Amino acid sequence: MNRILLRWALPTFLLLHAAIAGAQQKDWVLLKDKPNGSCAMPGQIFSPEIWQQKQAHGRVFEVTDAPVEQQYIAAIAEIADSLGYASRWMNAQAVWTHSPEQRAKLRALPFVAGILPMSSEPMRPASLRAEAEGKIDTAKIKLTAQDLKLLERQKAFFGDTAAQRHELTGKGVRIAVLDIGFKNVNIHPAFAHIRARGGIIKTYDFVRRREDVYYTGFHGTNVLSCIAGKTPDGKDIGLAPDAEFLLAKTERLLTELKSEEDNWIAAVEWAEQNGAQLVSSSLGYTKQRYFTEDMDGHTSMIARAANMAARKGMLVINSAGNDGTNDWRVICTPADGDSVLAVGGINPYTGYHSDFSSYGPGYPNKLKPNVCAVGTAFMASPKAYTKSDGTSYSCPLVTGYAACMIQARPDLRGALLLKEVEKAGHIYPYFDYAHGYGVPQLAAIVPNHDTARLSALSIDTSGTESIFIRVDSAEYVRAAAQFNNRGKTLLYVHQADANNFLLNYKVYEFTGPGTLEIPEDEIKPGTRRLRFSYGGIMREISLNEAPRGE
Amino acid sequence: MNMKPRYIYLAAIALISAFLLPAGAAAQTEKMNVDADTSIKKIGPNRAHFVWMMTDFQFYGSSVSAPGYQLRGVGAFGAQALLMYKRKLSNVFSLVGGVGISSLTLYISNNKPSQLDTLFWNKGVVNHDKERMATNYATGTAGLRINMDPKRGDVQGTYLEFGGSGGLLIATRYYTKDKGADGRVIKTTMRKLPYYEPYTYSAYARLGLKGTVVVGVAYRFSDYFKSKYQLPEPGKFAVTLSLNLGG
Repeated sequence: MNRILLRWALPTFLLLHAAIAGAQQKDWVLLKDKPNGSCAMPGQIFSPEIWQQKQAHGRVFEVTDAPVEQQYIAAIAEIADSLGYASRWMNAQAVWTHSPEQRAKLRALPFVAGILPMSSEPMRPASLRAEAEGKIDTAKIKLTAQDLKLLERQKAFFGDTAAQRHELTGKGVRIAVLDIGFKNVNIHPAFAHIRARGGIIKTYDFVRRREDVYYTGFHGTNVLSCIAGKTPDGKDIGLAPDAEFLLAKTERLLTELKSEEDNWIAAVEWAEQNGAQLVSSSLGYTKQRYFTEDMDGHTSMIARAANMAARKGMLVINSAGNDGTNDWRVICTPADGDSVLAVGGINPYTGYHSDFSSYGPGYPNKLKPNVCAVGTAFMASPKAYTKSDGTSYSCPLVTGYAACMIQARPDLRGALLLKEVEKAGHIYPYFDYAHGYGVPQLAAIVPNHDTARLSALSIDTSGTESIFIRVDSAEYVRAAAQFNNRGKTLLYVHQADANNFLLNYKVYEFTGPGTLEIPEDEIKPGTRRLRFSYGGIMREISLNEAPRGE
Repeated sequence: MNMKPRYIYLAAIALISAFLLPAGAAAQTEKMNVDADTSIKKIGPNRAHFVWMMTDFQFYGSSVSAPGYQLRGVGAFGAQALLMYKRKLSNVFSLVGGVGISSLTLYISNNKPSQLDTLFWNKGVVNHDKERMATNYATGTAGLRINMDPKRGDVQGTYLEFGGSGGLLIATRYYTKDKGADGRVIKTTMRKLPYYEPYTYSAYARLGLKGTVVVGVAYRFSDYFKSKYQLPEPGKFAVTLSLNLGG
């Protein structure tokens, strides 16, 4: 036995021990205070022009805006192996350490409130397909009829007609796009109009700490085009071709390891510092680090930072995630943030939920996603143009919409803007955990738009065992189809409990006038309200009050 | 020759069908039906601290010879229930440990005449239809887990785990089962036997297979019986099958 121990067990143990000792870990060192925070001035962080703009919207300089205490950082640097980014908002410093002793020493510092381990996995882009990179050959770019049909559809769901667009193009709105990389955005014809007017205000690679973000990663190129790209013949791909952009590379490519959430937080702070009103982030953490109950909007540091962004007057728009068909199933973080606009994906051909799009609710009972847009979109790729699936693309499409809303109503910021985008959803005030409030409609932000929606559904609750919903006339169906910007119409039905938590939700397709019967045995125990949405109107039945023939 | 009225009939039927069908059964189709999922999933990430239950089964090989005893074989089956704890060191490495109760049962296949009973009964050779010996231990286990699936790592995932287990003997039993002359089944149980080593210790290697099932091998360094009794030892190597029971 001793021989076995000496020959195998002991060397194996020593080898593994050495490996453990050599393993580095990244943590947030959370600080207790900012001793000089009250003395900090806006000029230390913001340019005079940007601060003036922010003040015009009631922005106040807070302690959370002040820089992290330099003396604290210096003391931390003496113990840690190396430093990552410092977060002003979170009052935290990212550090690399290699031993528990180092972390114990850091924890013992009098100004340290705690240590929070950081994910060592990259945030995942919410797209389903990777594509090889290559050179652009503009002569070879040819769009098929299918491409053009998809392009039209992805905007049509917003009610994008010339009349409804009403010159809303995101002009003057500054959007920060956080992604893996923006390969060829500096040369691609889809972005020529943005480059020509100097619309890319700043770029920064938070991974390599340099300005070039165009050298690798196509996902950001896809995403940016869904906000503001154009086809070779000048058709808009997204809704905000005239917006201004801050491009931040916060993640390494998937083949690399050790990407960090401090990059994302640093980029959001950088975006705010540079006057961004919107942050478009098609990235998220799920099971790499968290449990589903952690999707509560305040467990992850990035969700907290995203909520803080709303307090500072920015709106973070994040893709819901692509886990609808796997074990995880629910939204990612930071989409779980209370003040984050989480965007789900719908199928452009059916008009309802794309199966891959992550479901809500946020934990424990939070309406997520907030809104939705098509999850299969036409977009620019580093080589040319392409079609791809993922809530990565729903997110920038809605970002374009939000930019139009700010252009129309410059007073809207942060959480107020989020509420207005929700209200513009095509099924609002109805909601469910797959579509949120639906696709926000341009009609809702056009001045003097016609708010009239369709007349009421006919609901019959007099039966003893069933509820009947009648769509009475073909004319009504046609009107509803027009409302949905597609040939077919959808009836949404949900069952909610006393706390307004959805127990079940369904979507029916109506191809003509007819009656939908909801038998009593399909009603979940605990249901207090049944709500129906069709053609933009909602009807509600309270089961306590409904005459059920009893 | 005049087929016109028939065509009119057919056209009328087609028209009526076209209007009636959408208004009837085909008017609406259920496209989506979701029951909101509120269950909290305790699987997924690699938590810093994690506690769960584990059951573990060991199948030991047969030892067919022992000094002084003629046996066809001794098969051994071990089982343990453990309360496990994991301490994450990094995404790749974790320490695991647990405490629980284990049992080891020897199924004896005697040659006739058996000499085994001589020792236990001290009344000469007795042939039993069935014999087994069982022991219980208070068990502790500790190991190092190398996680090969960074997306998971608590009770599920792909991982390799090396470690050791130790047990303190807390109970012993010897069972026999015979059929009497009148056809009745006679069962006997003896307890507090002196033949067993008071401690057991072993090493194990386990492989997590992207689920709750874990397979592995174990090697028992300790002897089962005290050497002075020269009893037939069960095999040293065991194939193990473990089930992680949530957290």
